[in-house]
Amino acid sequence: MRSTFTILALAISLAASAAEMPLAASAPAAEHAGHASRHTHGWTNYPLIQRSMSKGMDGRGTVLMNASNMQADHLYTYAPSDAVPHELELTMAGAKLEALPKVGNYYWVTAREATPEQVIVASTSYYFSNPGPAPTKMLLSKKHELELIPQPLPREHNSYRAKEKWLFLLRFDGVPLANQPLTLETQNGSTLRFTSDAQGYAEVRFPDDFKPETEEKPVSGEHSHGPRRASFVLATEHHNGSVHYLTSFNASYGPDAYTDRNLALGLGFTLLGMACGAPLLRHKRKASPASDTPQTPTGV
Amino acid sequence: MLKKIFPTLGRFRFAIQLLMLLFTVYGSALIGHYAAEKVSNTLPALSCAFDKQNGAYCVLVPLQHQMHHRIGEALVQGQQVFNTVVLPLFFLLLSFFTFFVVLNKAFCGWICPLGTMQELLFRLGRRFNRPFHRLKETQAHKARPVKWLMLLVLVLGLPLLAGMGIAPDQVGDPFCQVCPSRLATTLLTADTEQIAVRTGHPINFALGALGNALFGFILIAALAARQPFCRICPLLSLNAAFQKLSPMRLSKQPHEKCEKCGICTKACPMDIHEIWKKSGHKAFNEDCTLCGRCAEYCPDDGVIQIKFFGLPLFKSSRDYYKARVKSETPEGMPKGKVIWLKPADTKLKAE
Repeated sequence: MRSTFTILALAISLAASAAEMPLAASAPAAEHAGHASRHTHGWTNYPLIQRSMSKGMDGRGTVLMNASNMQADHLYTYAPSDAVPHELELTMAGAKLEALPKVGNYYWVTAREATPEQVIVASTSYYFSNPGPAPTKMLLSKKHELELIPQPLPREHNSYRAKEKWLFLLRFDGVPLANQPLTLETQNGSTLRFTSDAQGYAEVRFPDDFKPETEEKPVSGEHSHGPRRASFVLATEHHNGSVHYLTSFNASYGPDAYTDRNLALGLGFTLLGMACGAPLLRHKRKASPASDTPQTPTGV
Repeated sequence: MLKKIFPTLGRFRFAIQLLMLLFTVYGSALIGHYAAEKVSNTLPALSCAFDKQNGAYCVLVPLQHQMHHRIGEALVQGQQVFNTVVLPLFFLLLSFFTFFVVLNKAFCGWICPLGTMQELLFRLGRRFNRPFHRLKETQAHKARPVKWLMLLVLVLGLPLLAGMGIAPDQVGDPFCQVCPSRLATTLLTADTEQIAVRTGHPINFALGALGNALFGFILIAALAARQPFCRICPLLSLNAAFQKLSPMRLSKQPHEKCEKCGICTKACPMDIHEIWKKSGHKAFNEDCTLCGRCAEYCPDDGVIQIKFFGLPLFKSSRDYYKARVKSETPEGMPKGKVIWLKPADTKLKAE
């Protein structure tokens, strides 16, 4: 049963990756922009880890992931009950991320590009239908110098959505970074900036930047697989001595909860139903006993 | 000590129901953000995936989903049937029935949050002296096929057809779209998203409007009738389909006084007449939720029993009955202090 929604998560993720939407040019991403990169994404210059577009190569319990806007040879995966990260070789097709037995649902995936001058880390999470412990400890364990940690991750049946606020912890060498700037760029063209508080937490409000949906009829046998999604990336930069650190976290988000919904109509139909039930609450003047209703016996 | 806190089976069940209502609606606040999800994967409670705070979700959600996205699509594609269709469905049903084997349909009577809410509303209706409507035997018989239709059409049929591309994609989860529990449990967490009708597609709009109207009707009907939605709930039919397989069951011995008595049927929140008129395995009807009220209100020793692997967990007794009716009538009318909205002469006839 726990695996049931994984296919939906996969489909949503794929739809987000495959979405071809008109994109505004994103803000130029700082110093790393000049690096050679294996893949690039037009909507942002920040490093990303996304599902590979090589369809048909991943299956149940496996997914192909690729890093873009950075030069990385490996992906590193952290599962909730795994003490050490797994190193996955990154090919042109991507790196094959596999669900390991009993290590937990939420995988943290990172890619790292390090030179003497700068360290670039991309990170994302992936949900597998896989029993195991909660990812709380895994998320808080130190993995890189500059870290951007979701607090918490959306659960399997939830996701980031427009207008919602989510907390992220910013750390450097395991120490929370106060007043640290954080940039959000979305596939829909928005760029927003946030700052962490004294404890290193930044509250990120996702922008309501989805355009009205165009009418597209699915071909017979094809499925829309849920609501629209778009990618986003959160990035933060920090200088320590002569080294520049850039860390990003990317995932997808959806339109706000009330897109294509009408609360007034919903309440109206609920009241209509209540009105239909209201006659049941009226006392009849003279009720006739049901013929097959048992009579309370006298002999008990 | 325990006997003082829970002097009756009804009180014990009510405490379990309230506990499970809190758990299935506010689960993540009680046991943690991620832990609630773990529980949700093993407890097929009627609290759904649309809730953000719950500690459980409904087995009907993944069942529709698998029909839609696994079986329907795989039948069309005709590939990897075993790995992508049979195994996931098998494990889904296995996890459901592992839970089911222990509780049988007691899930409905003891755990389901919507069932608990309906019971609370009915108690409220008694407190405010609202009329009491029960289904006659013929009406109860006519209502029974509806829950099977709900299962076959809304949970299995339409999602399957949508998966095969025959029906529109918007009917991939039709039961969820009309399910009153989705609205009730999300509203209890102050989340109004689900009660807002979907307007993106006419089918979603129609189903949403129907679901909201049904929810409104259930809210009011539950004040005057016992468990109105349970009678058409597809989860009851899913449970009923396999109720004979579970070691937890209701048992009734024939007794000479039964014919003139029938208090068990009066006490039954599902208006099951078979518990009065039949005995043996026929008394354990498809609508039974194993709430145990029939056993509580049976005035004869050992006639009605709830058994687990043949061992009686609870059995009727004359002394228990005498104590029970002092606090509440079989129909659920409390005998304590009652807030009357009408003059006393409109008191429940059954009393």
